[in-house]
Amino acid sequence: MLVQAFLCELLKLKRARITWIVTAVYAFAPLMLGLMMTVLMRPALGRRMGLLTAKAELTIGAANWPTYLTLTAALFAGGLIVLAVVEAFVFGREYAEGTAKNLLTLPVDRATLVAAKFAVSAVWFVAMAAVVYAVALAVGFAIGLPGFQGALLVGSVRTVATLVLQVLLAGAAGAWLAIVGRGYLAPIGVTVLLLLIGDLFSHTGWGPWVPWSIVLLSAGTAPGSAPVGAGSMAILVIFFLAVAIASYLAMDRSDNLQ
Amino acid sequence: MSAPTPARPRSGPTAATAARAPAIHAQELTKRFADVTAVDALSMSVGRGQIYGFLGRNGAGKTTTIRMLVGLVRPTRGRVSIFGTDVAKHRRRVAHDVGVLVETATSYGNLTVFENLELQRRLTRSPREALDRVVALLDLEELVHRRADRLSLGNKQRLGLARAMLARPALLVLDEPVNGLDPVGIVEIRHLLRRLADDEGVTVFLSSHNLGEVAQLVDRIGIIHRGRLVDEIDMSATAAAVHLELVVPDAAAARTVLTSTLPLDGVRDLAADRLEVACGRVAPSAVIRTLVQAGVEVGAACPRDSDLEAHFLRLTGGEP
Repeated sequence: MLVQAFLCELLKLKRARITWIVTAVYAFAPLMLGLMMTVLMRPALGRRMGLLTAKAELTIGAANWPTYLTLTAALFAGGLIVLAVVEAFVFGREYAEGTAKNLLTLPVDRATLVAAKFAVSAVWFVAMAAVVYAVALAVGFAIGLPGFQGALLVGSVRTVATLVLQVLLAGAAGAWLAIVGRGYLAPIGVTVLLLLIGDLFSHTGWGPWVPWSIVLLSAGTAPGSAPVGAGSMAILVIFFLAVAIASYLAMDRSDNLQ
Repeated sequence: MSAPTPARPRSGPTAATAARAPAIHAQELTKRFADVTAVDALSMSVGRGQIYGFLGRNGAGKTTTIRMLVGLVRPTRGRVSIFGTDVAKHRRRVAHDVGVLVETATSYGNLTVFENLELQRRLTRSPREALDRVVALLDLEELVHRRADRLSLGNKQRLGLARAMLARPALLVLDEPVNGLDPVGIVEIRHLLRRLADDEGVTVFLSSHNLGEVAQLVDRIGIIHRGRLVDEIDMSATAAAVHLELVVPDAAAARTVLTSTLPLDGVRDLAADRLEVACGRVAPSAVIRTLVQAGVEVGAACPRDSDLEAHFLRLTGGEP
């Protein structure tokens, strides 16, 4: 039944404009990174555009592939918000559009419904991440960034894959928020707040213990960023399992009055 | 609309273990939201193959009761069983036997009628023919490729009914099923539900706040008021009790003729030239004939549901 529920969740995305809008907005980010790199490589262009090239250089670093791929990785930490939008649609839509009452009266175990929705959210997010990464690479080559090496790409792919996995684990809270909040607003709004809290903790010694800080530390956007240890990954897995169970209980036990 | 085909034989543990249980059995069903008691110790039993009308004013507790019957809301107290199976303990098993339409029909607007039904078909593990059948039953053939968000309110309701009927459930629980339908659609749905009950033995539990709509269809009526089931009426008993509204030159003279001649249940003046006759066991034609033979000119004679209506209004606090 899980396969059928998964296929049904995929079918629900058909002709849903939100899938293309979210993907397009997310894929716009590497284009902006490419523009920044271009300005760093061609200061005269930056001056013509009114951009402060020297200041950008101080903030971002040199215009080359290692810098560019580090910045690209940071885009995937921001994927926490993108995943929240995905989960808001996949889970929250049922409540916002009043279809939850149909879904919850079907002869399907509610744990199966929750699992299928998590699976579709993951597939959608991974597909978007692949598109964004492909766009980032294409932009890097198109603007002629110097310093490309095969080993650099392998390391970057590994970092991005780890980040995508971490985002899927830490971002699961969006599903629970969508069910409890009965719609779109709670998962997106609260995830932004959680990201800020994660950023705050990442500046303290507590970072490796807080799910959202772990993602930021892995992405290299926080001070003292470094690959997180197995303990942090275990925390993310436990967090995901707890949220998945909470999501099931919220869907199964709460009264559906919409 | 095409005629329904014979029912799918019910199988599995529900049928085997609870063959004689009523379709719906609710005991002391209570739901409280904070300090508001939406449903208060409601007990009822709906027999198999019966069409049961659940009647009440807006906010009486109809939808909350329905949500408890189908497992969308957990009772604060009491229990519900469907075909003998406890809903709280075996929700998924019960769901195999129940088709549901709760309040406004909702669907995935970005999907077509066909795709919305296909979702239902897959998740109820129904054969492809089941989809074709409900499309024909609900007259949706010309709309199958139209997006659900481009349907009229009435057609959205038809889609909701089609979804409820798709898996050929033995029990249909329908909350305000003819909402948004035009008069022709209302009659069609009424005939369809009657056929499903008569030909396939499907039990139908439907709620409404419209007495006239329910009275023409159901076998039994339950009246809910302020969360309490205040009365249950067997429609076969009331069907014989025809009320006639008569237009005559002198209501008082006509009343004297009727009360002195026929064993009527009651006669009351509505105006100087108008009276209402509760016929009881007397045929309406005999009432008119008696008046004419006594030289009373009958200007008009209209049957009325006034008894049921007055009863409903009395129970629910309205003015008869």
